[in-house]
Amino acid sequence: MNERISIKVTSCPLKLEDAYNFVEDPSCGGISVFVGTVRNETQGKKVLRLDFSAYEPMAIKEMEKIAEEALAKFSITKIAIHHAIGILSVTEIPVIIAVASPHRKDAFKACEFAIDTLKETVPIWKKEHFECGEVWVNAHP
Amino acid sequence: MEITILTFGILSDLLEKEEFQVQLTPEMNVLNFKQYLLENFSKLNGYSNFSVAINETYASDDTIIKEKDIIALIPPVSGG
Repeated sequence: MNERISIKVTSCPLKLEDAYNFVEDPSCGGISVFVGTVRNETQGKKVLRLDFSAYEPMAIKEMEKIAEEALAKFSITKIAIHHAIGILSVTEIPVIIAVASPHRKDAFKACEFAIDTLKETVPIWKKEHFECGEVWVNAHP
Repeated sequence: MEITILTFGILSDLLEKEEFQVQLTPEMNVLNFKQYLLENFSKLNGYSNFSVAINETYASDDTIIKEKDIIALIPPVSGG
């Protein structure tokens, strides 16, 4: 794999420093980091926890495609895209994206591009668990 | 020809299984395959809001399914 890319799908808790340390580079003037966190409500309903599942080999391939596209589209040096699966509680971290670039704007733009595209294409699903029942997010238009 | 189907998310719940085999006629494309599923699996209850991936890559409606392909039924994703 491209040595400027770090991709991870894991059932272990994500660590901010893993993504940060991977992208840190002497040629860069900034690092942009997006951290997704589990929110405590959806449309007024209290969320107890989220259960993430993935089609793991394809998820990794799609995340690699996003990273390669970000490297081609923006002047960035390194990118990390890490996603957790399994049961996560409120405030826990399902996704971390870190991008390092010589100048800040490319890092901001690439970070936004990566999370927006991940939410559209990467085969990972979350089930929201409420006090009264559960629902697969996005399953119904 | 025998084809392996993987299901995910809401489709695993609807079909009550994560993997199964089907016998398909040769030269079937993805669109016809989706119609075949809807006609033969009443548990889907008409749920057609899914994409199809072949061998871990998204396939278009006109992609032809081949022997030994691994097909995944991909409902709308919700990662992040």
